Amino acid sequence: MNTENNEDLKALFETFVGPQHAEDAVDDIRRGDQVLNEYPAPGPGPEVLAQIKAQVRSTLEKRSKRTFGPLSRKIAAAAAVLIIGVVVSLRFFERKPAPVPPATIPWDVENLRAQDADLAQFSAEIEQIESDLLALQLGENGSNGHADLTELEIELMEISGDFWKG
Amino acid sequence: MGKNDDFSRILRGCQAGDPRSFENLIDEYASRCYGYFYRLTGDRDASDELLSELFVKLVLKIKQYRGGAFETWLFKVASNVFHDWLREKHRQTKLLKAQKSRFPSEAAENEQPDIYEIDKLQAQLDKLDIDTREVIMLRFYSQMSFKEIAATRGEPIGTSLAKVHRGLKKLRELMEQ
Repeated sequence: MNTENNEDLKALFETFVGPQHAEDAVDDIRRGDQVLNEYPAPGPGPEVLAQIKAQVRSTLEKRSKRTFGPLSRKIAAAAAVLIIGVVVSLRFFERKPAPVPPATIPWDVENLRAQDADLAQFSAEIEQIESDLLALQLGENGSNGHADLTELEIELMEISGDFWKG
Repeated sequence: MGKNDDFSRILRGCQAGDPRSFENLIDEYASRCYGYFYRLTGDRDASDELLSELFVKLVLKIKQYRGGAFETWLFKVASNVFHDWLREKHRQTKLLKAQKSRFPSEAAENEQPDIYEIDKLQAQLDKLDIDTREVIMLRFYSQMSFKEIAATRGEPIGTSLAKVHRGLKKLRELMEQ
């Protein structure tokens, strides 16, 4: 073992103990290193190294299993989140059918007015007939009630037929 | 392809979790790291345990290595492993002392002598305080500069320099006795 690491020990010691003592300090260090080099420490036995390598291998295997477990769980969670996101977004952005505008009905105003006039006329006639009918039933106008009634019914039927003809 | 390229490939392999690359890393650094642990503990069993602990820790931490001098990073991890072991040892020593005071005869029976012969250097190293011993061994086995050692230990460079200087001087004196 050597301690040559390109470090300028003399310069380093000079900053702390001054130039006079720096050389002595460097010499102490070198001689101390020499003692350590003269008595090398024992090394690890081959069986110890084999045991350590086996232990390292076992630790690596356990670690990879531990890494794979959480990783697969994370992937599953991410996939679930993704699927839910896709489903939600599909529903959210799904095209709703455009509101159908109410069907336009062609109103013929003039025609309506004419029909209103007819309706008013028919209503007036019906009121008149009803009033006549009531008078007949009560015999107020001194006529032959039965014949008049028949005549009125025929008249009513005609009016009704005209009404439905338009 | 140069040695640096080969080593970069090994490191990339380790970071990718390749067992073969870790085996190469173990072959490359086991001896130096073992020496570091042995000189700090003076115990082969403890050194075996610490070396194993170190490489398992490297498997777990290798992705945190972001380039720069690999030895600096490696020995920082090794230093942490040693400190954890030291704390545990202190805790056990306290427990043992407490046990001894409660069951003196039983504890004496359990004491066993160290079966490994301690070399002369180790015997003298044990006379240095643990902090000085550690900084000397960190420099010797990691080949870090004083600047890197100071940064790793979180102390001023002058402190690391003084500890190594005084420690090596004392060690040489002890060895010459």
